[in-house]
Amino acid sequence: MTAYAIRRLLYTIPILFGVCLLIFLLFNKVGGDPTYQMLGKHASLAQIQELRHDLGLDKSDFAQFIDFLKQVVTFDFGRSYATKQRISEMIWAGMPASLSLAIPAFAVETLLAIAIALLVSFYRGRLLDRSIVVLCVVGISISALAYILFGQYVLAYWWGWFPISGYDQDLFQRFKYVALPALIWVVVGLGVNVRVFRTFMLDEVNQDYVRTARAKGLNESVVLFKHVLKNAMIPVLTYVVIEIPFLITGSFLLESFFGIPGLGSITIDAIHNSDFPVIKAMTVIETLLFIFGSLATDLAYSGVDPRVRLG
Amino acid sequence: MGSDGWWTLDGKIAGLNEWAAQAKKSGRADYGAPISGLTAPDKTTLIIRLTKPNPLILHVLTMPYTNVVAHEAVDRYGGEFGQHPVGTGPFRLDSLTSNQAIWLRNPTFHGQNYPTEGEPGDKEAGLLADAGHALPFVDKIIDDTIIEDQPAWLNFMQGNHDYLAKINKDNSADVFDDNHKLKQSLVAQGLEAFVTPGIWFNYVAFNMEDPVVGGEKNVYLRRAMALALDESPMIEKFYLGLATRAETPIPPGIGGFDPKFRNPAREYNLVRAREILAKAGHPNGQGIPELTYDLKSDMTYRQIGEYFQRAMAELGIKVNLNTVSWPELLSRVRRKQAQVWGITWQYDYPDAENGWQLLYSKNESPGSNESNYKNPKFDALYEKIALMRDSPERFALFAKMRDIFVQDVPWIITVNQAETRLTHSWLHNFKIHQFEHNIEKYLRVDVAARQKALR
Repeated sequence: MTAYAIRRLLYTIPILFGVCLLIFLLFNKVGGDPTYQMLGKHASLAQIQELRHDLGLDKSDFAQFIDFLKQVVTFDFGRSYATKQRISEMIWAGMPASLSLAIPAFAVETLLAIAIALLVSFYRGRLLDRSIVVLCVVGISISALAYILFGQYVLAYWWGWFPISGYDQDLFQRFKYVALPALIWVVVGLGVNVRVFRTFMLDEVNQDYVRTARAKGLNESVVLFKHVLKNAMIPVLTYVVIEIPFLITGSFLLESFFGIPGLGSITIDAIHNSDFPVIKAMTVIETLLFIFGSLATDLAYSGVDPRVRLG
Repeated sequence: MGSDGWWTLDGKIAGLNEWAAQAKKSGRADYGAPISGLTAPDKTTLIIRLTKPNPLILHVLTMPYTNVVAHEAVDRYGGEFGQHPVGTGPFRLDSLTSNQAIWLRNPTFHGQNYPTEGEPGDKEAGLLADAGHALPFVDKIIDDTIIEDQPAWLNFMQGNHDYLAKINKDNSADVFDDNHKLKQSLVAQGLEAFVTPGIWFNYVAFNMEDPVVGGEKNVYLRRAMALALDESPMIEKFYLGLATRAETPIPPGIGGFDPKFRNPAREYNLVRAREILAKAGHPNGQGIPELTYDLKSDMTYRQIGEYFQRAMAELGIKVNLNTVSWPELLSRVRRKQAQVWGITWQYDYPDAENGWQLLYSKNESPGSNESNYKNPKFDALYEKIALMRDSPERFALFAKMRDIFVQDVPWIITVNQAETRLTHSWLHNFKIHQFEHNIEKYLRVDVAARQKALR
């Protein structure tokens, strides 16, 4: 497995190189010259030339691309055009806020989806199963934005159950602020996850070993929790593992609407301000997380299922 | 020199440019180095010596670019100084995130009292009730930056925020009635709306070096296009009905603004526009290639662009909308690559020079004269008014500049945007201002009234 992991890590190099090339072309060649925006409305030619020099924009395209690769390798993406902060510091500062929302929301969403999927697979084809499947489809069909607008208006503004938006640096106080966005995260994700997990469960429910277990006279709870759940957890786990790295970057929409100063919110601000270095950094991070998420998924397969051999 | 505010002081203070050149050469700004035009004989006195008379310098000194700060703080924080401001104001920054800044009362504030005099009507409005009292009145300011409209609106309506700095056009129906007055239901809740003419104006700019729309030879085309664009629906649709028609680059509230003047080039007259176009040899737009209108990728800009496109179609002129990012739009405009584009100008300081300099030939792209307009007569007038203080003589020169502007139509000037604010009844001493820097020290919150209202 170690050899496999090393080989997969080496594969990431050309993938990352390709992604960096695309990002470079998109932001450095298509996106416009940032110096005009940075210097404001009254920039002189001398100022523009000087700033272009400082930013390395007067170098050849090849040299600029090498500079960008150096930034990716050293994880030093320079400073934000908008706030002038070091981007690496912005990322470190935003990560705890994103995780404060993402970890509890993701944990509750996953556990709840597993529980509901197990329940409906037990009642497969009956009213409860059908009702929940219909609810899931309805839930999936509604835009996440609609949940946010509704939740904020009804639950926070009308009923006053939650703060409308905001955040607190205090570890315990902040949960008051992340409760509603976390609830919306759970509701938005539940429909998809329940349907997927239900499929995993049903695959197992129909297996011979389940029939054998029932034939042996085991009661249904033992069949479900000891046999079905244990085996269904293999695809569930691999499905879930790939999402874990993305928890770091949070949720763009939720953080933006609820004023949570996480990486999602920072990215949205950067898009609003055309703050290309921040957008580039976040794109690279998302790519890396996807690559490592995929690798972790593959490794998790062999970890939880002894039949899978990675070579 | 890398600052976006360098232009405010460039060449204006004796010795400053030399100091900047030395900093550039050595790669380090030496804040201890003497600058002949800047001396501080004691802790509270700063003497500025100018290179030449400059009546605008007083405006510059009130801008956020120019503050007296401790060089030790700049030395310590360097490039991070913006996140760790150290000044002499009534508040100090306690914490700063991307969404929120928290300011606490500065215990070492040098002290200042609330003004004892105001403008006519201020006393009646209760704005002098705290006259002579020591500033500031509040211990803490929480400044929330909320990008999305709904949470900003709901937080304000729930009383979590004392005032709302912007009313979005999508919320206007909840705020204003058909007469653009604050709805009675909101008045009953103790809300107050403040509306004042803004120091923003919008215009459709022509690249005067473009062979199709620019230069003297295409002035009839530009006049026809200007006459075909009716700004009234734009005011209702995009600016809450609160903007006003712009006539010249001098908006209301700026010295030299003439409320009686109506720009004849901006009267909406489609028949006349068609006649002019025919006179220019383009009946029904014949022979005019498709024009490219650059616009920022933003919903409102897009809608305004589509409105412009429809208006020009009435003349038979085809317009292609080229939606680009803000940096790309600036790149295209300042490299003289754009043909026609929609843009807004916000005054940097309250002097008409700041509007007229947009047409001064020496400011051509990449400078602020993005239209690359060049007229020696206009330039000569500009150079005179730039050295004058507001006076009838100066205003008379403005009128001459205005006439040239009307004649040449380098832009289709459309609207003066309005500034809007909403406050709760418990917030006192709030007065809307076009240059709203540092108003927080005057604000007072009636905590008991707030608690009562929120109960």
